[in-house]
Amino acid sequence: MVAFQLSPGLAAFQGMVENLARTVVRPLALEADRTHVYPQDFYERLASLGYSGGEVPEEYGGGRKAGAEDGRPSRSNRLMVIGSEWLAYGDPSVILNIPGPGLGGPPLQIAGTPEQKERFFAPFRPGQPVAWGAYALTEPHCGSDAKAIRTRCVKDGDGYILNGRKTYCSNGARAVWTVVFATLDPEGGRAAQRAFVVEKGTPGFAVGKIEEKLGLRACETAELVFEDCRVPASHLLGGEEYYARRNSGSFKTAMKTFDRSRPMVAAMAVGIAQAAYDELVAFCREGHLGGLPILRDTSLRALLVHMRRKIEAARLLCHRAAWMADHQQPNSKEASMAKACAPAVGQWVTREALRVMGGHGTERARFVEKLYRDVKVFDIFEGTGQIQRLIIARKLMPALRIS
Amino acid sequence: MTDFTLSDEAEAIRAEVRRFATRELRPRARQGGDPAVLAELRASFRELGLGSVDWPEEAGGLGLGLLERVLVAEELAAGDAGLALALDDGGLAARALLELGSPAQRERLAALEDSGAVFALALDEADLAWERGALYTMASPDGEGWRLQGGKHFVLQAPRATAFVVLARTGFAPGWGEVDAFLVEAGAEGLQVLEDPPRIGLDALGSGRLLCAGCPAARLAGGAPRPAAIARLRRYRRILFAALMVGVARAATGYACGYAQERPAFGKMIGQFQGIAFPLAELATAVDATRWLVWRAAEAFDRGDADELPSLEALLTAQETVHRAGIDSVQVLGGAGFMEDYPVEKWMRDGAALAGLAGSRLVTEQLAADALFGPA
Repeated sequence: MVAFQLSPGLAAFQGMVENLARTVVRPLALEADRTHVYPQDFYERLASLGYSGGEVPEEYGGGRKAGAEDGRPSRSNRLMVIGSEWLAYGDPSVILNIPGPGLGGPPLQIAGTPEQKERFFAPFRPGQPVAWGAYALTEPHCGSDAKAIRTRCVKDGDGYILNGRKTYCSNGARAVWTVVFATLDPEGGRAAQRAFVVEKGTPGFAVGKIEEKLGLRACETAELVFEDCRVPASHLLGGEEYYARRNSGSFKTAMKTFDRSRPMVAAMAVGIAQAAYDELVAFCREGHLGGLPILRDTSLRALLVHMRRKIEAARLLCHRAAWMADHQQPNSKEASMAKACAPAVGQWVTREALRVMGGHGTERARFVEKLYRDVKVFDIFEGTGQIQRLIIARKLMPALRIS
Repeated sequence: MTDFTLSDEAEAIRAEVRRFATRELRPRARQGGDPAVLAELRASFRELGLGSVDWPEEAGGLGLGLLERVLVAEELAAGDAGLALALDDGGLAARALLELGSPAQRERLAALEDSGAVFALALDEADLAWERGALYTMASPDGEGWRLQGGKHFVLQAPRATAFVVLARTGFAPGWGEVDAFLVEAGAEGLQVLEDPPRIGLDALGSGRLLCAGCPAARLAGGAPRPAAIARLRRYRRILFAALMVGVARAATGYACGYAQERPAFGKMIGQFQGIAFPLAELATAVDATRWLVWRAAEAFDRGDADELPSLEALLTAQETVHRAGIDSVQVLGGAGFMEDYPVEKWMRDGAALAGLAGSRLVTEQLAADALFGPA
């Protein structure tokens, strides 16, 4: 049945995340933004509360998934959307910091063999020390054009030799393993692409942190270098048969990940927009303009109404895309709609909040300037806004090749 | 938890209305002024019960909610919004009778079937801020009944209505505490119905102004508590208007996408150019988001939620989206979009007419701000 209210259980879940965001995350956020790191006990606390960055399947030691019982549709995508939104409300940096398989989880879950899942999900079982997984697709010379990757993999006996560079890899330096996309032949297109799970410390695999960024400063971003890095064939995601059977390389694996991650990333942008809106309202409640309380100004009230409905609309697009994923419906178009819309709303709301607040908005302690910096990358990673529009347009006009 | 699952019944209704709108309404969108066409379509509309899905079963409806009504409205408007409004002889006034009328007054809805009755709802006044205190039509007691003094604007179906439900003030208290709804017969002494001059769009729909110079009226005498029931009626109207706008915006977007796949330029189809493809992607995103805002508002309404914001947000967003859909779809078709040989110029006009008749953006935004932050 059509419903837009949270069930009691979910309202409790949202309340719990929101409480964590307000009472634990937010007080640490400014300091983490300055030092580029959260304290170690914060990660342990998140893990002990049951938060996991990326899903660990139940059969491989993850926690029990809410709502998948009784053959009913899963609720996991909707839960992720709610959790992501409210954690980002506390601090947009925090989500990518949560220990867990991260963006490496979905390709492992989608393409991995049972042995690979058993082995690589193991570090994330409850009770283990905190650990991160990572996902490396982007290279210095190519981002959105993922077909153009040049990191080479060459078959060598019972393994592969990797050579090349990856960049903008979240948690890449501390990850226990990273899903790395490489190609047998740079001219071979999608079919030549392969995905490998490369473990930390593998000889020939070096990482360096990228320290200075516009926003998400408390997130670890790494550059990966592969120099004659030998990876056993057992680390080829899905095994040789997977690629023989599908005949489409790992490209599809990379793209499928997005159908689940994009609504989540979009929801984070919604959380950022909501946070900026709330900060602006708080500012307007305390301040005066021309002798009158700011909140009585008609043009400001209209702006706040406009912001709020834009945020609601973006939120609904996220929930819609997640609902489709939960119901196993193809949702590439809807995931892209959420991802095209929410970061645009987030950028607009944070910018207008800054503009209304004048000089006050530029002060670090006001938090809005941080939201304004942080939200920018949400229109870039997980597919830029332009790429989302391309995907939507292709679905709207299937008769055409649009590039 | 957010859920977009429609019941099987709702899905079936939606499919049936879509068939009707595609086969019957869209091909006749340009013939809305022809009385014979209108009469024929009205018969089918009544037969299919398209105006009464959300009426209680004892009143002859299907007993469904506003959500189902919203599904019907979007589909009809994707056929033709002017016809969608012009074919509905009960209209919003029927909802007023159901919500506010006594059992005897509700009985009059049965007359829609056989007596050729047409009801019209008269809410708006000359002052666009009628929802923020500028409602000036007065009702004064007169023996058993009442008499009305004042004027009503933008009354849809007014020229052919046989009776009107009129919102009027019974006292000068600010707010909605002394506002009530009254039934006025079309031929009543002291009532003048002035047909509106032609409008930008919704060609099939007539509308008019009411001048009440002491015309006799009967208070809608049902037991529903007043300010709340009238607020519900206003929410209902906003949501239904917004649903019609989603239908128009969807039709325009879909047509432009089809055209962009077939129109060559510079050795490609125009849809292959990002300058065409990206605005269409954004438009489709806006239409979807607007629909979910409308559904959310309808679902809240059906639950009895008295929050004003969902309906106001749905309306404001629908107005924005329908304007954008009209303008951008005409742009995609270029010169062809400007011509009456293609439907998009009509959708641009119809969208503007719907958005305007649903109310001023200024007032709606102020109502939303009042709901959020209290009066300014």
